[in-house]
Formats: sequence, C-alpha cells, structure tokens
Amino acid sequence: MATNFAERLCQFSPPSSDCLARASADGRLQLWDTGSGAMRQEYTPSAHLSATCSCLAWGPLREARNEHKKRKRKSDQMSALSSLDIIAMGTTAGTILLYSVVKGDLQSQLTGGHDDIVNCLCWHAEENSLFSCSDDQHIVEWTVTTAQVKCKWKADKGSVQTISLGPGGKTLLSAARIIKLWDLEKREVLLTFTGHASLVTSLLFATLPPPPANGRRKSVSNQETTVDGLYFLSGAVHDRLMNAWQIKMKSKEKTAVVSFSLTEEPVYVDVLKPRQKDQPAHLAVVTRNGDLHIFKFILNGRGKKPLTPQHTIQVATQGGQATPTPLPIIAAQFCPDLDTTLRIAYGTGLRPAFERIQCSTLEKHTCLIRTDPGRSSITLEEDAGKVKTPGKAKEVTVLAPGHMTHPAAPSSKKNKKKSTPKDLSIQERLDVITTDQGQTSGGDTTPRADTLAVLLTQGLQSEDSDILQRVFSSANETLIRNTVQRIPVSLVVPLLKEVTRRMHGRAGSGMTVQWLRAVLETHTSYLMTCPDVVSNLGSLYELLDSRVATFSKLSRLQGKLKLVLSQTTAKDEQQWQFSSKPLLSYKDESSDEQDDAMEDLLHGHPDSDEDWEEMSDMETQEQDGEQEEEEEGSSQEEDGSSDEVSSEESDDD
Amino acid sequence: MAASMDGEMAIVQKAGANLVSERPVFSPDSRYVLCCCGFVVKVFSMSSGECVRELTGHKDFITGVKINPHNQFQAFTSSLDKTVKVWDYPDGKLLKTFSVGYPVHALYLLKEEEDAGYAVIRNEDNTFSLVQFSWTNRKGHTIRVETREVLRGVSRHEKHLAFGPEGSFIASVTRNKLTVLFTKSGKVKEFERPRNEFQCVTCHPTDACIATGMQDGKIFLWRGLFQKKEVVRTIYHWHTLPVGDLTFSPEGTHLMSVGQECVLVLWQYNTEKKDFLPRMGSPLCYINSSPDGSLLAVSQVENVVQIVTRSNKVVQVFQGLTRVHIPQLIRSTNPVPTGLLLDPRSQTLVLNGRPGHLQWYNLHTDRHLYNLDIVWQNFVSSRRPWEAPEVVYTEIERTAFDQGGDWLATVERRADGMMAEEVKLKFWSFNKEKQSFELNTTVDCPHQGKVNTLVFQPHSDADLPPTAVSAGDDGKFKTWTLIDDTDIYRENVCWSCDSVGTYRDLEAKDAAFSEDGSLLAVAFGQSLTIWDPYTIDLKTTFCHTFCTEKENIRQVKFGHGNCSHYLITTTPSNLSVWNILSCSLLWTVSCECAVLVADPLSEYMAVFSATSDLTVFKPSSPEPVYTHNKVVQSSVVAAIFFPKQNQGSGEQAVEAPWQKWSELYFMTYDQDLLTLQKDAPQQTRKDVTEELESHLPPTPFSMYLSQVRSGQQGEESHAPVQHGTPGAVAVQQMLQTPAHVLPPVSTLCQSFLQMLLVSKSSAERQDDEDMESDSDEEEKNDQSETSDSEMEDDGATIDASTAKQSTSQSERGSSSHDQTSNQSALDKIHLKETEDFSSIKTSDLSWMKSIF
Repeated sequence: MATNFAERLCQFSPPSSDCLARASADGRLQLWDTGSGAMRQEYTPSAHLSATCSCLAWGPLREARNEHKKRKRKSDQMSALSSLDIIAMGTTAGTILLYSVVKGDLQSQLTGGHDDIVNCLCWHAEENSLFSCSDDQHIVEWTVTTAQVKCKWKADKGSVQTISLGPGGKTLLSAARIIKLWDLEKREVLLTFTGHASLVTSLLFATLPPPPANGRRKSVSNQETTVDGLYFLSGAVHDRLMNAWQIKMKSKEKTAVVSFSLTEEPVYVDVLKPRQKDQPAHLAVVTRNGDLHIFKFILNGRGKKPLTPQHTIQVATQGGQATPTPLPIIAAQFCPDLDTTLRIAYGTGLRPAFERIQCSTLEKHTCLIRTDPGRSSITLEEDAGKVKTPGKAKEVTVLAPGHMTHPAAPSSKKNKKKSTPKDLSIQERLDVITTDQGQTSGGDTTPRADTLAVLLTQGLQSEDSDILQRVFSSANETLIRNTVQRIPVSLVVPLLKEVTRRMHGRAGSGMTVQWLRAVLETHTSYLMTCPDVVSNLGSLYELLDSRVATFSKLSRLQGKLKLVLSQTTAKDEQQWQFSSKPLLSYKDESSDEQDDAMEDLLHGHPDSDEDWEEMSDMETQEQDGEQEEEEEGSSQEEDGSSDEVSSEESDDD
Repeated sequence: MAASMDGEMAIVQKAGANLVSERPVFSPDSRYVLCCCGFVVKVFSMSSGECVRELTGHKDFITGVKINPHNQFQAFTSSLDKTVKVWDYPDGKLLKTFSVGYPVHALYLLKEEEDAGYAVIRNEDNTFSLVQFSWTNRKGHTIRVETREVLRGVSRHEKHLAFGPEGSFIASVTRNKLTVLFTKSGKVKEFERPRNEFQCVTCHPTDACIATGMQDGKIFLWRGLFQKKEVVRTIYHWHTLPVGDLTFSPEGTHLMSVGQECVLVLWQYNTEKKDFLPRMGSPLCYINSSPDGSLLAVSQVENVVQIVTRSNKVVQVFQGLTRVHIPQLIRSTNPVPTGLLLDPRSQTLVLNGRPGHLQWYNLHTDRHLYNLDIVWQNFVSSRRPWEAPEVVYTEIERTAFDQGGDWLATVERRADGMMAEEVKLKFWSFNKEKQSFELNTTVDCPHQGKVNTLVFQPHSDADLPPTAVSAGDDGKFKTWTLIDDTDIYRENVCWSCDSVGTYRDLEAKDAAFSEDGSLLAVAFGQSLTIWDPYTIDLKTTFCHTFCTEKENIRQVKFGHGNCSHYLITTTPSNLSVWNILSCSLLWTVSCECAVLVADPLSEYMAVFSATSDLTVFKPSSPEPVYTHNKVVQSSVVAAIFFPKQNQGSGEQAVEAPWQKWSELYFMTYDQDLLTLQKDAPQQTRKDVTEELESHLPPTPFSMYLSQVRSGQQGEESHAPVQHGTPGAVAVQQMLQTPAHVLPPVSTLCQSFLQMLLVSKSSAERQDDEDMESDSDEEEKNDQSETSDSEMEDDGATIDASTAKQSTSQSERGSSSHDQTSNQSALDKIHLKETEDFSSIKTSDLSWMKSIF
C-alpha cells in the first residue's frame, strides 16, 4: 500500500533549474517555475487515471553551459540523458514513465519490471541507470538508455517502501519496516537496521564520505570505505520522530544514533550535507500539517534525547476580518549557497507559491504571513511580455517640491505635541505658568491682543481648527506681534508647525507669512535652544527653500532686465543729450518756441522743425503719444523722464 | 563575440540572446521552431517551449535559416562568415558546409531545385546581389560551391525578396522600386512608387501574385504579371504605420501582415474581409506560417516569438531578454539607462525592459521571469515617420535596490522638449505577504532636472532606517530616509527627504557609499567630496588638480574587502584611486573610462574604456590583473559582476582569481549581453553517440492508424474512391433502368441506404488520414479521439459480420460499381484490417515509432 508521502509526488528540481515538479492526484504532471511562480508545463499521461503517478524523481539535468569542465568528465551517455531533463514517474500500475522536460513529452516508458505500485525511484546518473522499488517486494535496476531491466531482485517480504543510493553508487538502502543496506555488486544485504515500528517513508544520506587523498570519488574502490561511518536519516509513517543511523560495518550496534522530534509525521525531507566534517548539517523536514522544521546538528556520535528543531516555520494568511488560515508548506529544499537558504513551496496543489528563506533571518518560531496564492486569480499567461503590475501600498505617499519632508512632519509633530506637555517637569510647568502669568499681566494694556493670545493658546492646545482659523485670519501686524509675544514659550513650536501646515495647505494664506515672521522675530533665541529644532523645522525650511528657489532666479531676471533697460535708456539718454544740447540752446533763445511746438503738436503738423523729426525716429520703440509727452517734458527734466520710463517698464514686466 | 585578442578568455553569449533578428522557421511537422540567435541557431520545442538544440559552428552572425524542402530533417543556415551550413537539426549535427566566398545575407531554397539554392551576397563594392549556388553530392565536409549571379542590386534583407510559385519569377524590392524577374524568359519588369517606400514583399504560393507592404501602411497586390496588359493592383489598407512583414498562408487563402501597431492582420485573399489579433504587446517585426498553415510564428521587437493558432490563440511563447526598442533610447548613447543590477532577493538580473518596465532575468537558467510595470502608462505605438512630433515615452533612468532587496527605488523621466520635464522618484517596498513590490512613496520632481545617481546606503545594523541618496543636475544631493508615519488611524511608513547638500553650486554627477555605509562620496564637477551620511557634514574634499583640462568626474566607487579604504574615480581621461585614510591620491592612469564596476564579493574592479577595452584591476595597485583589448566592436554601455551560482564548491582552480566569486557580464550598445569565459575546447565535445532510446507504448490512436494505413496499403487497388454525391451510382442505375424492370422500392431501399452508409464511413476515414498528417497535437484533440473510438466500434461490429460473409472473398475482383461488390469490398477492408492488426501486434513497431 502506497503511503501518501508528499515527497514522492512533489519534488524540487536540482538547483540549476528553478522548477518544482508535482504530480496531482488525477495523474497530471505539473512543472512550476519557482522564480516567477508560473506554471511552466503540464502533462497528462494517456493512462493517467488507470495508472496514476505514485512517485517521481528528477533525473540528471542539463548543466549550465559554463560548467564545461564537468562535462568532459562524464560519459556521453550521461549527456544523452541530461540533454533531455528527464523526470521519472512511477505509476500505480507498475510502469515507469520518463518525461522529458525539454521535449515536453514522454520520452520512454519502462515496463515489465513491476506489477504493483512503484513506491520510490532513485537515479544513478553515472551508470545511466534507475532503481525502483515496488509493492511487489522487488527492487529493479533499469538501463535507461535501452529501457530494459538490468537486474531485479526480491528485497523484502513486504512491499519495499523507499530506496536511497549511497554515495559512490555501490550501495543501496532499502526500507520497508526494516532498513537494509545492499551491496549492489553482489546483491546481498550488508547490514540491517531495525527500530521503526511502521513503514519507513523516507531515507537519505546525511553526510558525504570524507574526501580521499586525491580528491576523486572514483578512486574509491570498495564500498566499505565509501559508506562506512556515514550517517543516514529515516522517517516513517505515523511516526513523529526521524532517526539518524550510522553505518558501522564492524559494530553490532543496529539502533538509531539520534532522533529528531517533530510535531507530525514527515512528508518532505531535505538535508544540506556539510562540506567539512566539523560543519553542521542542516535538515529540513516538512510535516503533514504543513510546518517546516529546520534542524542544525553535527553528527558525531550517539545522542540520548531527541533533538528539537532549531527553527519552525509556518505560513498563514493575514488575519484581519477573516480568521487566519494556515497555508501548508508543501516542500522545502536547501540551495547550495554559502549562506543557508531554503526554497519553499506553500499553498494548495492547485497553485503553489514559492519563496526563498534565509535561515539566518529566522527565529525559533516563525510564522510567515502570506496571501493565499490560490485566491489570487489564475491568469493565463497570454501576454507574451509576462508583465507584472505591482500593487500600491495601502497608502501611497506623494511628495512634491516644497513637501519633500512634509508627511513626516505632521506625524512627528502630533506625537511631539501630545508628548511635550506631558514631558515637562513640574518645575518647567511652573515656570511656564509663571511666565504666562507675567506676560498676560503685562499685556493688559492691549486687551484685544490678550484675548487673541488666549484664543490661540486654546486653539493650539485643543487643535480646534475653527479657533485657529479665526486667529490666523487676523491681519493686523501689531496685533499679530503682540499675540505672538504673549503666547507661552512651550507653544511656540506647535504654533510654528501649525503655521507650516497652513502654508503647505491652500494658497492665499497671506497671513501665515506674517505670523511666521512675527514668531521668528520674537522667539528666535528660544528656538535656537530647542534641541530638536532641525527635525522640527526641517520641513518649514525645506518649504521656504523651495518657495524661494525661483525667487533668486526671478530677482536675477529682474536685475538683468533692469540692466538692459537702464542701458537702453542710458544709450537713448546719451543721444538725447547729444541732440538735446542744441535744443536747450534753442530753448534759451526763446521760451515762446515751446508754445509754438505745442501748437504744432496739437495741429498735428510739425512742419518746420527737423530736430523733432530726428528725435522721433530715434525712439522707435516708444509709442507716439509717449514720445510726444517726453518731448514735451524733456526740455525741462531730462533725467527725471528717463527714470520714469524705466521704472514704468520694469513695473510692467 | 569579437575574436579574442587574448586567446585565453573568449567572449561568449551565455544568456539573453536575440531571437528576433531574423524570421523564425517552423519544422515541417511543426514540432520545432528554429530561431537565429547571434552565432547559433536555437531549436525550440513547440510542446515544451524549451530550447532543445543549439546549432553552433558559425563564426559570425547567422542571417537566415531554412528547412531543406527535400529532407525535412535538414536545415540550411547562412551566415556572414561566407558559408552556408547544412544541419541535422533534431540531433544538432553539422552535416555539410558550403563555402560561398561572400558574406551571405539571406538564403532561399526552392522545392523545384534539388541541389541549388539562392543567396543574397554582399559584393566587394558593398552592393548586394542574388546568386544561385549549386552543389553536387560530392563527398567531403566543406564544399566550395559555384555561384551564378541572378539579379543585381537587391536589398540585403530577407523580406525584401520573394520567389513566385514554382520559382517562375523573383520579386525584389529596393527603396522605391519593385523588380520582377521572370526566370524562364529572363525578362525584367520594374514598377516604381516614387513617393512611397517598399518595406517587404511576398508571393502567393500558387497564383502569380505579389504582395508588397509599403511605408504608408498600404499593401499592394500585383496581379497579372504574365500578361501583356497593364498589371492590376489591389490595395489593402489597414495599417497606418509601415508594414513590417507579410506572408501568405501555405494554401494561399490568407495574407498575414504585421506592423508596429502590435496587431496581426489576417486578410482573406480576394475578398475584403479581414481579421485581427490585437494587443500583441509590442511592435511586431516578422511573421511566418507553419507548413501546414495551422500555426503562425510572430516575432516581436522586444525579443519574443509567439506561436498563434489560426483561431487567434497564443499557444506558445519563446521569450528572451526583453530588448529596449523605443526610438528615444535606441538613439541615445545608452539604451539601458538603469544599467545592470542584481536583485538581492531573487539573485536575478534587473534592467530596463519594456517601455516603462523593469525586467527580471535569471541568468543561470537563461529565463525571463517578468516585467514589472513601474511607470503605469499604456504603450502607445509610434506615429507615422513623417508626422512630427515623435511619441516620447516615460523611461526609467535610475534604479537601486537596498541591501536586502526590501526596497526598490526608481527614477523615471519624460522629457519631450516642449513641456517641463516630468521626473519622478518612486520607492517600492517588497510586500512579503504578496511577494511583490508595492509602491510606497512617489516624489515628484526630486531634483530640478536630471537625476544622475541613486544609491542605497548599505547597513550593517538593522536599527537604522534605510537611507538612499540621489544626486542631480541641480547641484544638490538629497538623502532620503524611511520614517514612521503611523497615527491612530493606520500604520504606515513613508520616505522623506532628510537633508540636502550642495557644494559650490556644481552639478552632482555621482555618489557612492563606502562598504559599511559610514561615508558618502559625492562627485561635484571636478571635486570629490566626502560626507558623513548621518549628519551631512563635509569631511573632506579631493580635487583633480592634476587634470589640465576641466574634466568633470563621471563615476565614483568605493573599493570592497581589503580595498574598502580606496575610492576610485573616473573622468573622461583618467582613472584615479584615492586613499581615504591618508587623504591622498594613490595612483592615476590615463584612460578613457566608459563603465566602471566593482565586484561586491571581492576587491576586484573592472573598467571598460570608450574603445571597449576591458581592464580588471585591484584598487591597491595600478598593475592590471587582466586586460582584454576590444572586447566588442560597438561600445559597452553597462556591466555587472554577477555572483556565481555554485559558490564555495570546488573546481575553481581553473578560473582566474578575479572570476572566482563573480562573473563579469556586460551589455553592448546593440543590447547583447556577453561575458568572459575561459577559452575551453568545449566546442570539440563529441557528439552524443548513444541516444536515449524512446520506448513508448502505442497509443490507441496510433494502433488504429496502423490498421488504417496497412489496410489502405493492401486495398489500394480495390477500394473504390468515391467522389460526388453519396449514392450517386445507385441513383443513376435506378434512373437508367426502365421502370418496368425495377424491383419494388422496398427491396431496393435497403441496398440504397447501405450504399449511403458505406460512402460515409469511407469518407470519414479519408478525413482521419488527413488529420493524422497534421500533427500529433491533434492526437489530444477530443474530437479526433471520439471519432477514433467510434471508428473502432464500427470496425468491431463489422468484424463480427465478416465471419458470416465468408463468400465475399470470391468477389474481390468484381466491378466496383456494382452495389453488392461495393459492399463486399468494404467488408474486405475491415477483414484485412483485423488481420493486419493482429500481425502488427506481434511484429516490431519500429516503423510506428518513426511516425510518433
């Protein structure tokens, strides 16, 4: 009877390809991209209902193209296998299907080995072979290239639940209730391990063999040196313990070395083998209820107490209105990075979601709040661009010039405003009260201002916008000044902030500038003593800075314009003076001429005088009327008229 | 990709190849799609979407790929390396090399000529001509072929030339001219469109009809080419933008056209009707039809090939690294203004993608993950070329990730030269719950004018709020910090401007944080200023006094690891290294630096000069660790040290020390993503000798098919081929026979009805045979499966009846027009089929494997 062991139906690909293969209950094979979370392929075997997939195993993968060094070492057959990215699927009918990810189709079918449910598959890539075990009590070794049975032997009296190939490929562990270590060359049992009461569902080696002197695994000749002293892990049905065993050829010890306590029976197990002997190994166990336990341990002998997990990870949805529902973790696999990272898949089988977790960031119990991936609408990827539209946070803050620090200010202001009166010591309060009294008593001479100061104090303390509005609408400068002088010192900063807030707000608050000016004029010395003046007034500064940013440009423009105008007028003036001199002399001769000229202008026929004509030609820019006026006045006050014109022009601009 | 001067390291393209440089080609069984990708041809599987094979061997860009019309397992490729190669593409084997002697720009193969092909070559005087090259079945791997010039003065693009049905004429378009060469007579007809430009040409598969796409979006159909009279021209006008590509369906019933409107238009031939597939996402550049006409391959300029069925459904997408295609960036000096970045969370590459998008690309698996919409603006297709002004898109100019990948900051800018510039700085938070980025804060106009740099402060402790620094042309640098904006109503965090710094009103060009985040270096004009990032106190200033010319600092970088106290600056003519501890200039070299990158995992740095020379160095010494002259012909615009996937594992002794932790990827102006690799002889890898054999059980459909096939093979001569109305024979007989000798209608009725029945089932079988030839995708088709099972039932019932009708065998040779013999002949077919079926079961199924 096949146990419902998740690892068999759902497996991460080797890390060179970010993929999760999952066989659903109706026999379909789905490949999910762990990077983008999208489904990459789906394959339905023709006999998916009669021969449902019972287990699957990733074969050797296409290597990344850069690792050419490895490629040379391996055989040609290896590349034949790996160029197709094979997934082996065992079925309940006893057949094994080899699915090629690259082709997106079935590559081959292995038949004639088993006649009952295939329970576990195990690749031996170097030898181009595949091991499978079944409920029919047999283990079969297949030659994959020819799809033929290489070897078949009876392994147990009951159904063989799981197998695991030892490092080096010379030994094989198989398990029903008893775990057996097989010598693959002689096909005999080397060792047996007893201790599980129920069917063993998972077996995997936890340590690598110590590197031989020349560093090549091939040189290891006999299997004793390969597996002797190694540890392996096992988990069983309905068993809340995982056991670690040590292979000792000489010793009679056949019981578990150490065990790991879990909250539920394990469904997916992965081990990060230590590279050096003294480094800790990591074990990730996904239990039936969807928790992930991470153990960190160094295997160096016998332990009495069961180990407890270093980290426990759960995934659940956000609480809020609805009750939070747990999202079971489906699978977890270590990434071979320097820092220990895990790839996890969680959610329902319909639509799993993927994430990378760094073990270093975890606490003892971590609950990840995630949205249910099944809830999010399954979008068919018809858009070729694979566009992801990012969401918006609940509140998107918008900053603009003049408001760059604005949203920060009100929050801190509000906190501070509430806190500052409380934070004051009794002494300070008394001081404040006394100064208040002194000032109010002193301000009796102007009763109206006094009331406004009280009003403002009340308004600031109660944050009553109506009162504040009334206060700030007053425009009398002396009134403002007196009021500012009379408010308690502790309210200066809140007042400034209120003023700033109003300045940020609607335009047309011309009064606030006067208030600001009054505050700054009166209380600068106090403000200088405030320790947090920079943070408090930063936004005000920024606001003023951005508001006057254009001011320098404008004044520069004004200056330039003035310069240009003054130059043009000066130029005119020079010529004026040049031409006006005879005019002056002319005027000296006879003052009656002016009247004549006036008469001529009125009649519109300045027939006699060429000088006038010349002058009007020179001043082409001016309008005729102005020109005439100037001409009129020019005789008496040359400088005055030119100044007038320039000032008029600048005003116009 | 250029020849390596060094010999030790080769420039290779590992990921992000351009799939859309040429037309994609279907294999005859539509199971594979072949795309030219630089120096290789990639064979993609239709069913899985994966690259199955890479045809490597050409030494220059591949310009075309074609399937051999006489052998469906062979493909011809043409390349600029003056050769045409023949491949066995399902196995990825090189079969033959034809040396043409000239760079080949396009390749055409005709069904009629078995040992000759046509190629567009570039002559010495940079003109292009169409030549015919022929080969004999000589032995040898490399064959020098003879060329014979056919047509002079053609265009080099493949889509500018087309062959008429059976090669009867050749249509070639150049700028304003359509030239038609009649191959038999050698006559030439020319048609000019003085005010319009030809964009592409294609010929109808059976009719003497040429379709040309014009620049103003019109499609002309030229007919009556062989007649003396004036040529008839039909105009199809839907496109407003220039027509990108045209193709006829293989049976000639439809004309497909694509363009920059992102719409695929299907025109019914000879009618006014048209059909559309809109919203393809980005402008389309090529289209090709599968040999059976059921599928269309549509190439998009952003490096996507979509496979579309005739019912306008996208069934497969081959997506490469998204290429930037908007004209404003293509014309600028850097088409990828964000540069190459590493997303710390997913360990993937991030860069500009679609207009207004960032793309995530996994370099290790060579897979495009997604485009993230940053700008939130719809893509507007461009205006007609003569209509000003051009559409200006908002483009992302700066991007930065914080250390843990929790925050992403982007700067987008739109400057059309008329309105005020729109600049936005956006901060995106990574929502762990939804596993996606969310907009947190938008800053309008963070600087007056362009934002030159955007960096996050690396933090050693988590207590400090994340901080970013932006610097702009307005001479200011601003620090942005995350602040708590929580009040009683909601919890919120937002970014806010913390402080502003200026230095002598100079433009701030670049900023960098030291490795531990304790120092901030900002480059103002010629001066380099060092600030305390927490208090914004000016610590010290370095000035490039040794520069004679007024040269502004372009880039600033801090060293890493052992060299973290060095500060590296580049100016247009110098690379200088400053020691922060002694506040002195350590060394300077004269080089024209374009791109400077630092490896975050080691102390090595790499600099690309304006002439694309690569130098890898350690900041501590002016001696270069590695140099490589002229890595590419065009300029390098961006680079990154990308962390290796299997760090810490063995086998690193073979690599250069500076490549131990990271690989140097760089992007050229032509948007090729390249990297350096030890020049290993992996090309000489033996071809796979032993293939994984395919052992598949026969599917029910294939079993049935084998019955039908063998039945037909045996009964070809006997089976009556029925045409016309079913039962026409019987009707005719009835009508011809004098009425008085006719038996009663009731007796005739049964045979007459049987006649009808018979012809129906045989017709159905005919259909099935057609269906089989389509593709095995049809196998999954429900319809065929159901009809298939029906047929089996039919067969079963008649099988039973054949046992009784043993006499029918004697009538084998009788006339097929006879009613009774007709029926018995059919029975015979079924009988034969059952025999065959049993024989097939026992015999080996090897021939069937070749079909399936």
